[in-house]
Amino acid sequence: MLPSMAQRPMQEATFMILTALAAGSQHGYGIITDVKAISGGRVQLKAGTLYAALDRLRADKVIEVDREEIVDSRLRRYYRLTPDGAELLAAEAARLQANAVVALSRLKPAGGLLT
Amino acid sequence: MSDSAGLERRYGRLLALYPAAFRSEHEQEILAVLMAGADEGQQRPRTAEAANLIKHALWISARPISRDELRGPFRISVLRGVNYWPRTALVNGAGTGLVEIKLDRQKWVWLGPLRAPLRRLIVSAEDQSGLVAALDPPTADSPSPADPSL
Repeated sequence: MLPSMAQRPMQEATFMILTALAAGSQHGYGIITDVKAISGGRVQLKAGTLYAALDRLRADKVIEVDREEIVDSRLRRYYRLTPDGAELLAAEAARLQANAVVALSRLKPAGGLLT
Repeated sequence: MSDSAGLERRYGRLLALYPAAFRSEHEQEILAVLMAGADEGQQRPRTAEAANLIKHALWISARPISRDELRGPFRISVLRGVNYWPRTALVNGAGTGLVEIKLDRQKWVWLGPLRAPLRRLIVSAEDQSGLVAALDPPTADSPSPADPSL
């Protein structure tokens, strides 16, 4: 399962795309605007990056096509997380959280860098 | 977006760099995203957006090559790194058509099966970098030193 995902840490762009889809299905431009919003403007996905990621994530069965619409004669394809994808995102979020907890706890004690 | 035909045509040219299978699957939705992100009256693709499309077209088109394959028949003698785009290093193997791409991870690829426009673009980048002359394939008369990085 998820052969290409298991080998290395998840890229931030991938993490943000999956996070955007965790709230429900979205189309490409919706993902770009959502990722920009939830990252406070820091992560601004470009179309090439987004679709390279969506293509790979779909091949890995992390996401799937939810539905397609034609709006203003343009194709809108909505993507959603698969159960495997939700599991993968949850595992990655837990990993990041555990790392952050350790880092913060070591910075806090007297003599640490944070006051 | 009344006057967007020119911009859409230019984005279409960039998308032509992608493999046919990827295009048939995603071209229309990528175009929709690009046009949705365009400014009113914008006529040309933004440089960063275009570079991003080219980079990913190259990445998706290229066939990965194993390290063993590299050691074998190709006998790369000279490797030079050139940064054409931010975070993307192309390293050219002497006259072999091999390039190394670093995107989110390192990947050796063979240029042979790339679509012609993309191949031309890379050759043109090599010309501009002045590397072509230095990258003549080794001959029997002038055996080249082994590359320490391989």
